[in-house]
Amino acid sequence: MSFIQIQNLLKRFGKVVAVDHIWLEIEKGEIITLLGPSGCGKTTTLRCIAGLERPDEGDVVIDGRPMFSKGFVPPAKRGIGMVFQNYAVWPHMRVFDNVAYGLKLARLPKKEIRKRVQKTLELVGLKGLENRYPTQLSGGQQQRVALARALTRNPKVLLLDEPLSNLDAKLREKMRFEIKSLVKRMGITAVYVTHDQAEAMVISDRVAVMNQGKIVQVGSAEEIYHRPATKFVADFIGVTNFISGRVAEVDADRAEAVLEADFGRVRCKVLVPESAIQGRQATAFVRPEDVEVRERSAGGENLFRGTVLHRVYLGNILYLFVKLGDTSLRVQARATMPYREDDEIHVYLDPYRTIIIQD
Amino acid sequence: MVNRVTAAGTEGAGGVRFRLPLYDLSRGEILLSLILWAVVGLFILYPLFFLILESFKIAGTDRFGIQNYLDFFRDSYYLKAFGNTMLLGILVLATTTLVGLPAAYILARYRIRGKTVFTALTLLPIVLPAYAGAFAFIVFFGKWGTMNLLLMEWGIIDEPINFIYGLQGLVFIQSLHLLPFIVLSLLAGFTNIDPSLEEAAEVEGAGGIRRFFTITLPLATPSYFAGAVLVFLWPFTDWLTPIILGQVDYLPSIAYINIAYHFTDVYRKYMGIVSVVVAAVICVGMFLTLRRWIERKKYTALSKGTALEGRTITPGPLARLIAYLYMGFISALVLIIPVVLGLSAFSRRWVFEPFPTYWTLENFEVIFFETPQLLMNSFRFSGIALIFGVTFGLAVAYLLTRTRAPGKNALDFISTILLVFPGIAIGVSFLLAFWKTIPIATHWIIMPLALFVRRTPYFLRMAHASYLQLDPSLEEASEISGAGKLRTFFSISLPLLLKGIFVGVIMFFIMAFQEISTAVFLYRGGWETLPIGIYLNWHRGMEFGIAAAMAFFMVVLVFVLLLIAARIGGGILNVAWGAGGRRE
Amino acid sequence: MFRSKVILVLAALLAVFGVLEAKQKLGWVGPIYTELAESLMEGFKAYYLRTFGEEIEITFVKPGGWPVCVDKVRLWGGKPDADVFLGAGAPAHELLQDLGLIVPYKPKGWDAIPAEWKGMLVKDPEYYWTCFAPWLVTNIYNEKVMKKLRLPVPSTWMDLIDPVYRGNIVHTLPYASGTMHETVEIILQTMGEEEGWAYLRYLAANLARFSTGSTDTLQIVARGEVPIGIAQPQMNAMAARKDGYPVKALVPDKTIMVPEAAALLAGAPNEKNAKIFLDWLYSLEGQLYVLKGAYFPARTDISLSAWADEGVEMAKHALGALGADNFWQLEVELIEYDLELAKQRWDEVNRTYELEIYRKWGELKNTLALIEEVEGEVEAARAAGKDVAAAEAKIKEARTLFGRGEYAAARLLALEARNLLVKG
Repeated sequence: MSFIQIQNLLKRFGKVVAVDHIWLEIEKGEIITLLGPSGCGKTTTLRCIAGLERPDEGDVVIDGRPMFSKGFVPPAKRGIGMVFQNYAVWPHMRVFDNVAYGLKLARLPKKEIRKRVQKTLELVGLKGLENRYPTQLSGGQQQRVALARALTRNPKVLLLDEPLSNLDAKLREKMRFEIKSLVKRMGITAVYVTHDQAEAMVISDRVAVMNQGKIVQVGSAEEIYHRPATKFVADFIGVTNFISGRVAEVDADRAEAVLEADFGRVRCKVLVPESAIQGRQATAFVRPEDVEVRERSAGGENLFRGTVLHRVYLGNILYLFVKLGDTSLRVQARATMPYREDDEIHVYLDPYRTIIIQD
Repeated sequence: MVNRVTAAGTEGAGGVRFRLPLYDLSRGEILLSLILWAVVGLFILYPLFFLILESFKIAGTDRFGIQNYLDFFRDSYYLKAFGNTMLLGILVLATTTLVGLPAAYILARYRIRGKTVFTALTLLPIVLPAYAGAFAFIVFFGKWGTMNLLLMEWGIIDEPINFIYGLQGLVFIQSLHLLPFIVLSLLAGFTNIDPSLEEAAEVEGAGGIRRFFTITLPLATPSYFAGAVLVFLWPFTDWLTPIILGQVDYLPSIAYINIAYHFTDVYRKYMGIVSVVVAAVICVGMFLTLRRWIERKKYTALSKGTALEGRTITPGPLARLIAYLYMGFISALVLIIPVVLGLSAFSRRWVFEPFPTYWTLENFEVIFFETPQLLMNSFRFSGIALIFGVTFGLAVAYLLTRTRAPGKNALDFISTILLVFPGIAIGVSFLLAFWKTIPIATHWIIMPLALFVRRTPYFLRMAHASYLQLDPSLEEASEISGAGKLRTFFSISLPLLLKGIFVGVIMFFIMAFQEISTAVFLYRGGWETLPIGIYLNWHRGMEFGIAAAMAFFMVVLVFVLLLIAARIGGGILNVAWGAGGRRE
Repeated sequence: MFRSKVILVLAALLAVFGVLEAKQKLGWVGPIYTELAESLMEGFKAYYLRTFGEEIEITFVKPGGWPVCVDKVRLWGGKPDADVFLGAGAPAHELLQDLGLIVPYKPKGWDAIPAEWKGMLVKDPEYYWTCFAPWLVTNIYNEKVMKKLRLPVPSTWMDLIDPVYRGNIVHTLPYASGTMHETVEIILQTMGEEEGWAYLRYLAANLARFSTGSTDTLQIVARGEVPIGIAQPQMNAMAARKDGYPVKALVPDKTIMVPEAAALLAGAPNEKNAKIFLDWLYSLEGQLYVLKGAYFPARTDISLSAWADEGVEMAKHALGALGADNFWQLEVELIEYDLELAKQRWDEVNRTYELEIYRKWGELKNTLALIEEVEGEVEAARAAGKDVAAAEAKIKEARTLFGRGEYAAARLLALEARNLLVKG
């Protein structure tokens, strides 16, 4: 049985449904990310796990114990630690007291508290700053205090609510790895909420993409990136090209279909059978890096001629925006490629990476 | 165009500038700065200097010395009065805190119906004149007031209980008057706390009460002290309430009596002035010390959350019931004031009856038609004071936010201090300063001038805050388009500031309209204002009905103005914050 | 164009400041009650219009009791903001005269005012001041509250210090009210200094509170907050009664008459009008408006019953309050009042009262309470047949010390007396 089970969770705020009957299973020791745009319900889900919100329906089961249905288990009794978006470091307490707060409430002996706080602070790299007030710390250091406070009671589950969103880009990147290795080292199950897909991909074993209160897809970073279940996921994760058209052919055996776009016929992979029904409108998507630029046409499937509209040079990468009929396709080319605007080129869409999805 | 950029430092779009070694100010700004300093110098510093000078005069001689102060601090009576005032301050602070804490918590956190009404009622006394409350409570809680009569009628007591004459009454009346300051500051404190700070404690295992005392309360403390200092200092400035209740062994009351009744005894007058100076020094000193401490303790810098309303809780049925009863109780106490004043206003000689039995409009006829002079004076003096206040406030706010004028912070400092400066000190200092050398006290203009000085902070703070929110680039764009500074102010800044300063205008007007502590020293025949009329009609005459009608009219006026301000200023709380001494 | 707008606004502002100057003006300063001021204003304005065909604007400044008013005039320092000092008895006017702040004027009705009454001066022979409304220094009580509290009406000064009235009396400080100061003088002059101060201490022990002035005392008694008020002008009870308050005057066994007088201020800005007013004030018409303002008129040729017959409402009230047709026909014993002495020790009396009684009020009350307690113990011991002579002597001495204001010593003696009882 999974370590954390979210069962049919529903949470309304007035008339707004924030979390809409979601199910999710999280394994022990796993880091899972709830990813989605703001307002998608990811934070509410996290707060339900924490017990800071009470769901209208459904339950959260942690380590086999239901949190809501058999009497409300208060946050402190759930064996969780939580890091808040704005750190929620108490400004009127020294670093030591911030971290020791929960231990004091648990009435641990003073010596034990001191030992554990020291250990945790060392772990997060704040040794020697015990007597500082949070106002005397940098943003990154405050973040570490929050992390130390969440970890000091040896929680079974660590909940992180956009913990890095207030840090600058460099520090954010560094902290991602630190948090990941720390959590892994301690073997804690972690639920991580973010709207930053790169962060989600770096930090988590699995990603749950949420939209409008629902979980739209759960999977590893690769799955989410390359095999999105819906247009929303495809659009939300990474940069992608959409090609709309009509389904001309369906080959159920090979799980392939042909999309009739305005610039030609595109052979695509079918991942979800309902996506490709002959005669229906559908959309195919292809990542810029899955489009190959060919100098000359050798003829064949999925090879189209187009004109370079814009050329965007980013140093390591060259993006070409290629006009195919009414569609503008973003193509990732090698930086050394000599194409200029208005040049005519040919592009090849890899049929295994061009995926047809439901409209 | 590109070449001009480098020259912009010395030659601005507003016209010719010249460079002082340190500051680049336009000629107009220098002039403005000088005018403002002249105003502050003439109407604040100069009278103050006179007051202090007078306190060093030795009775019966032309000499100066510290004799009066030595006498003051050696005299056990003055020390006792000093101690009494301190004690009263502590008791009032303790009472308001104990009563205000649950009220503020309920208003900040509980999701209950009628919260706006409760908030408005709890905060109402902030704009009601203290003396109006005192009179209402005498009618209601007096020896033969409604309460005692009812209790005797029901056979619960045989002889009237002394509810209000004494320390207990003083604490009660002043506490009710000052409760809004505590509730407001705590409310600000509670709602400004990022909810996650409390949630973090919840996750860490702190239960409701422990969380409140270890997290919520400490975080609200700086905000609380901002209100608490005003409450604690109130007994050092309020001379009228003790006098109305026949309790005079308090510093400001002694000062008033010594000064107003010194007759042939000049020594008494000097001792009165010493009391005024001591009270003022305590007020200013305490205020500054606490302000400094609050500045240091300010936690808001840490909270990075978006504009949050703070945490709210849907209370359980029992908690809800208790919350309703509690807020209902406070609201009822506050409502006694307007209700009792209203009943008295529409009756005549309502005594020895729990409720009036004779109804009339006579009292209103008197104040509106027979002697409209008082009403006119009140409107005229407050109105002119308002013009002074707005002009001065906007100018200072401009100087503070838009220029690097030297000494502008001192200007701000002096204006802020006026918030806690005892009205009696302003009144006495004006009387001393503007009698012989600069004889303005013989012209009625002294009244609006004094009101202006006394209430200056109420508008200035609003103007300052509004100016801070106004993007300077809007004005710069106007100047680049060729408008002068003055024109830019009238055509760009003023219209944009209007909404923000409107609340300040109303608050200033309300506070000036109900002013008595200063005015009572300066008025002469024909200059009586409504508050003075209330005092004279009640305390020095027996026209309780007329006094009540005047007070009731003021309460209604204030209430209407407050509603307008609330509508424009975005809620009752914003308005009250403007009045309640919150300064960001 | 913009500039002209600014100028227009400035001009409008200036217009607000400019006040229209009335042609004819008159200013009063003094402690008379508002009701009298209003009555006189009404009467004199009508008279002025009738006689001169012009409106007159009257301002009335009343900053407080008469000492406060005198103070105000002193503060004006010869550049008065009024023309007539209206009200207050001889001491105030003599003080103003000494300070050179009033000038002599003999109004037309001067001869109709008696020169003196029962040994007291009613007008200044040198015309500095002239009484227009005489009254006695009285005390007042609230009938209704006295009945509710089942208290007997005190008829003499000695009655008032009976402990049954404890907490039921109010008076002000002598420096806040001329009437109170005169009351203190009455006590001191009739009882002698030592006895007098002792008496005032006992009286203070019976007080519920101090009021801030004699009008404050009146309103407190009228509202019933405290049932007995000390030191009230005689007509106060009449005025309150007329307004429907159950207030009655108590003419104490020892009292004086106060010749409420008017005087012309030195340097009066509207001297001509002031003189017209004073002439009118002592005329029969002016005196009628004095009565309508709830004061007793001063002319000897006035018959209240005749006015009452003419339908003057106030005359009936005055008849009821005085029990005589004219103030001067009152049957009372006045004390021999030494005005010179009163003037001389004015500040001293006020200060002594403040320092010895007012400021030590709490201690004073505690001391008397202790003495009374021990006295009760002495009585109980006597009833039990013990020898209490020594203790009785001690407690008697304690009372004497209390009377002298030696509160701490008095308490010590009372405790010694108690010790003697315990030992005995």
